[in-house]
Amino acid sequence: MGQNGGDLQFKIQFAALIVALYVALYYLTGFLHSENLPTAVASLLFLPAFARLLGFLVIGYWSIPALFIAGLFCVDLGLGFSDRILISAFIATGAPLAIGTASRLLQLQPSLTNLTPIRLLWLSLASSFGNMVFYNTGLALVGLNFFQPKDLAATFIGDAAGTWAIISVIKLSLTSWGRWVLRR
Amino acid sequence: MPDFTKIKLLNFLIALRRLPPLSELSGEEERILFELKAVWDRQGALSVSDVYDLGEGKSPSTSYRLLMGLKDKGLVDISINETDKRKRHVGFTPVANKLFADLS
Repeated sequence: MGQNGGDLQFKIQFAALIVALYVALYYLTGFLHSENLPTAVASLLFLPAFARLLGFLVIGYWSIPALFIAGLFCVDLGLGFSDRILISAFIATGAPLAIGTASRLLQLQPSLTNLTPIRLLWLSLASSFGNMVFYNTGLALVGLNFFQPKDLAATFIGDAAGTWAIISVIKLSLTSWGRWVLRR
Repeated sequence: MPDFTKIKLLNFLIALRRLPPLSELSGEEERILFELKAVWDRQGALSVSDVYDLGEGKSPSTSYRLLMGLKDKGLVDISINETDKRKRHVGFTPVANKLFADLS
């Protein structure tokens, strides 16, 4: 398989990983909240938001179908199948479009070599903002929510907090692993 | 050459690694250490002047400070050329070589 073929194969594998990661983090969020998350409109610590950021930064717009499939496994809200498809489509597109726009504004290099902490912060906020708008638009279209400030704030804060919670866990894991390797 | 998407994933993890709070080896130091290793693999030798060319967007003084950080942490040795005292060579310590071996 050529280099382009290898890259395509990796993108597909990574998209599958994003689906699994999103679903796993979704149910972990439900476990941490000790509540039946499928019926909750927004969580103040929504861990799967990290999968949206990771997915777009690594595989770009390939993350949209992955997030859509993941959404189908997670979105319930007591809705019918067609409404779940609609909500999943909105969930899958809002964050990637916002991150893509922010990446251009921040002059992020495609290889991510200039992904500094401050750029990462802005991208995570853009992701949360994009999802807040699209998710609540989707909810409004199925008649569940009409852009209530409380729900908008909960979506934004939950996504941002969830993203940074996972980033912190990975950061601590990488630091601990680095120390362990150095001391062995 | 690794696939572009894999490079993006690696750079994403490096970006996370560079976030504060810093470990004993900062993300910047870790990055320059591996860049030095790449130059060493290419050239078979390293001098302090090579360090100045590393670190995208970094001033030579910043790169030198990072090199001194690596030296203080026992990862590189700096020795003076016997025939030309103006030249200083950079070498990796056993700790650094073990790190490279573990990660290769």
